[in-house]
Amino acid sequence: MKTVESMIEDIIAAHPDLYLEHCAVMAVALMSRKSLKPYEFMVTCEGLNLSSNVEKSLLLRVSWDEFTAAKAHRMWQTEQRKAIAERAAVALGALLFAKLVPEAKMRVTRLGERADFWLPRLQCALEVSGTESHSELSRRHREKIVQVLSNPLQWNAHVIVCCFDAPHGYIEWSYHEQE
Amino acid sequence: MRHPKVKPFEAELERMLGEASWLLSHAQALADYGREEEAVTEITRAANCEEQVAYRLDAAGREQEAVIHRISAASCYEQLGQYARAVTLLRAALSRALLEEHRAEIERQLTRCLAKAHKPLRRASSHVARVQAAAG
Repeated sequence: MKTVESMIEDIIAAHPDLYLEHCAVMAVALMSRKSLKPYEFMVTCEGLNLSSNVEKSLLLRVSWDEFTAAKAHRMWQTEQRKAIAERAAVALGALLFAKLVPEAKMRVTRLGERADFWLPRLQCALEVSGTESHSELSRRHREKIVQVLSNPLQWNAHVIVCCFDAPHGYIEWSYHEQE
Repeated sequence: MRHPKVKPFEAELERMLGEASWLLSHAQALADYGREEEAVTEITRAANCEEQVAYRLDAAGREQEAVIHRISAASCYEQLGQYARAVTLLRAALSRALLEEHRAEIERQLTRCLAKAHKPLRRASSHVARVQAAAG
């Protein structure tokens, strides 16, 4: 199985069209409560056309610096856990694209209170979600597939759902074409 | 005499798309950190940028994408309490061909903004009525 190692702070330079520092901090807030660094994710991929080194699964090993850890500690006191899991998942999604599909450029728009992510160079919509409950992972993934395929541009879609569990996390990442 | 090089339209549009995205995500981060005043400033900038992006996408013939950015601008104006501006943008978005599900979502947002936009008008007209009654 391919292993990808990265610092979470790498997402900041990799995605110049997004302000992602707070997402990185929230990811560290969650990961550091589940395990010592590096935190590992078992990533399962479905329908993706990545490099030949990546097949159906990979190991993502994420580390972080002390500055981010200090911010994460402060954030944990103030934020709601559900909001942390959602933002943390955006950080992991951004990290996966930065490392494995670097030509993808993430952007965001708003619809009401909802943030919609897009990959304009790939002409794809992107749905990202996070949870701390492993039992919720697959159900959440199915919901997000339906949701993202109804995107108003009718673009094909990537779905990334992250579970921040102990001692390691899980990520389900899939690609879907419009019928 | 050499004229300064004009930036190609597409390159400028790409830059603005990137800027709008960055402003939206930065506004979200500021709100997450509880820095509300700074978040409002950033949402205002994002709204203006998204609106400009929508005009340029229309001009580029990318009408469906223009709708997305018009709604994004409207969502910012709604958050800022500028409901009349949000209504104008939402109506413009609804004038385009849309998926049924998406149209329904925008119509719900429009109804919400219209209700909020009318509130101050109703207050103002009842105030005028009271003043006229007192004078009469």
